[in-house]
Amino acid sequence: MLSYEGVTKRYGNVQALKGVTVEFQPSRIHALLGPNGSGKSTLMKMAIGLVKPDSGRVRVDGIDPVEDPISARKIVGYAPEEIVIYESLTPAEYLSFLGYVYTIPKDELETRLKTLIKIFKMDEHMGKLGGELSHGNRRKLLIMSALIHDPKVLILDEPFSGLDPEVARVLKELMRKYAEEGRVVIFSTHILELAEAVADEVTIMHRGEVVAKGPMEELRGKKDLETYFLEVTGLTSELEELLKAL
Amino acid sequence: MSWRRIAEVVAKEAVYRSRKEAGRSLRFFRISGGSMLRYNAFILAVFTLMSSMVGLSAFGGPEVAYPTLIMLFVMEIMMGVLFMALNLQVLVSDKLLDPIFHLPVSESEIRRALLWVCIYWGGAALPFVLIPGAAISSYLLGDPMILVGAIAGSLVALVMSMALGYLAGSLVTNYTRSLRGRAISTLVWLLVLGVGFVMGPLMDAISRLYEGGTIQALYVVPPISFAMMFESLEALSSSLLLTLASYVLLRIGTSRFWRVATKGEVPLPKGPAKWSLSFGFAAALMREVKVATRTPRIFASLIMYSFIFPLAFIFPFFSEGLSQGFPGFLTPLALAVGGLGGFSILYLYIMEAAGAKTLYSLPLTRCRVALVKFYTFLTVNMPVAILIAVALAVLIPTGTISALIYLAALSGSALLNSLIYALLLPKEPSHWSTETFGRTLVAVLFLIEGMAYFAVGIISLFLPNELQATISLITLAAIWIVNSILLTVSGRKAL
Repeated sequence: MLSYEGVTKRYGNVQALKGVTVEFQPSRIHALLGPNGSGKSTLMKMAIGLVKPDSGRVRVDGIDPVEDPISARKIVGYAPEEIVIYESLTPAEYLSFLGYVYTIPKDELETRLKTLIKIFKMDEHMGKLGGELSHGNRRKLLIMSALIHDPKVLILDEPFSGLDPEVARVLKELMRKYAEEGRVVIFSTHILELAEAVADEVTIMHRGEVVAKGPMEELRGKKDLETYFLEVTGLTSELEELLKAL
Repeated sequence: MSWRRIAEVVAKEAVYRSRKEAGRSLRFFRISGGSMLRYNAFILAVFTLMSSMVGLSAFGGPEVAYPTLIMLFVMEIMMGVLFMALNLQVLVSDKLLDPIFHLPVSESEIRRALLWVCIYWGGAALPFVLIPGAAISSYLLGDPMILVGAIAGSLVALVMSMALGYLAGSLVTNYTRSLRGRAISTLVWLLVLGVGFVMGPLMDAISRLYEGGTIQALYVVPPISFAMMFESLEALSSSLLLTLASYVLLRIGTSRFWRVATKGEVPLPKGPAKWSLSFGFAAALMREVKVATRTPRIFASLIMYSFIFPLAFIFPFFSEGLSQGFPGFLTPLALAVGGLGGFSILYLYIMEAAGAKTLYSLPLTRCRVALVKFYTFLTVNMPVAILIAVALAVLIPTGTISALIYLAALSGSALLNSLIYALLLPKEPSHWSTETFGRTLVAVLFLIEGMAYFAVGIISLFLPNELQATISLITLAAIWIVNSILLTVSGRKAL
């Protein structure tokens, strides 16, 4: 459903992606892991045509986001890691605008927002200006924006950062529900325990390459995720040196 | 940490952010940023050059030199207010003092630093708006007191500009929640941005002041009053009064600004704030209007460059044309006022600032962005535009055609420029500012469009009266043809 085939991307002297070939199947929650600068965000942005590959092919439900980003963005819900919101707009105003952009009928928009506001506990904050929202509530607004059009593919970059435990739990259940409905769900995280708890599949990236991919049960069978992660990314010896310096 | 060091750090950060926010070149900041000397050196050189050239007017005698020095004195205050207001706004809105409060620094030291920061924002260079010109005038007129008076006057002008700057800075900050506060803030920004338009009427007033009497009438006006204070009691009183007023205003301005900077001017709502949803196109329009009106500086710029600037620019030609009996000349002028006004749609793009990054992940074509901006422009500007059109139609015989041409030109030019900007937007998510499009490109676009309207005006001078409206109508038709081509092109391109 979301596939990358021999995708490369270079930013100046930095090779962000080196011929990545990977497929994300529906009905599964995929965790994308990797150290900072490993190419996770670049890969995610390519799904909606925010970043164009230098070579290779990306397909989202049969759509090429480079050729037709508008169609890709209609079926993908994307929440970036960086929190950027309009500080002078209230969540209600911003989400209303998204209703227009995605051409969501009035009744449908009202129903969806009612649910989202309830599960993310945003009722008291819908009339506040973006600039007055806390970090956690800004994150919630970003996630709500990604969900408002009921996307077929959900891509969340570090979605749990700043969320309180209760809402984090709700988000996990929501991701599970989406996957069970046959959608593609991908999220990135640095917290390996979170990946272990939520994901069905794990993809580990390092220096622009996919260094490991497989079902969580399979990886769990080998050793704990942290040890496995450090091994495949070659960070074990580096970590040992850092620990010695303590 | 000494208060001077605090001032240096805060001033540097505020200048950097205000340049970034206004979309000015950060390369210049890297050249000029740093020590107080580097901050002021470039601007000091510019002021000295300008002031010296103006000072040469003293060849025309005191009748020419005195009004010129008065103009320089007013310019010093205006420049100071502009520098201060722009940077103080950033200081408050970005809460630049907050990290300082966490340090073991006394309140008095921070207050002193706050007073000192303006020196870094070009304050040290401000007296050089007046002093070099006065020095040349003093030499040419053989009167050393002119230079002495100018030095005293320029220091008082510096204090006055700081005082007004602090007062303006405390009002022009981001009043995002209070409607009344936003209205005041927009009004103050209009005054700050419109200071340049005051110079013409001011010079007229000075001319009138001594038209009826003698040059002695100018002795009470600063900075001449400072030069004449040992010769005339009125000059002495005027100088002392101005000095006292500047000091009192500075005390009031700094206290008021301190309250705003430390407490924050936007009270958080108690309990849940009211909210409602809007739907369809109204939601898009609402979003644009809300962002525009909640960003007073941008909103003031939109009003300024939609109406005040084009009208002020064209008005002298307009009154000249009418007085010389060219009523037909009115139509090309109406075309130019409308056309230049449409250029200001740029501000509806700039207002997006960092928030623009979010738009890139949405299914938006550039055409859709351009059209929403265009309809927002019409929503915000049409009430005033219709008033101007009605005034044209009612006050001037045969003004109806011109009124219609004005409205068609304003809307046609707004759509044209909106489509051009939408096509020029970066491909990757970015903060939108003037720098996004490139200052040179924006200036070139403005020049090309301005020259096109100017050319239409010139051509129409050689045409019989009955054909003068026709050439304006042909220009309008051309604008709308280009618009339809750009609509097709931008409809195929995603943001």
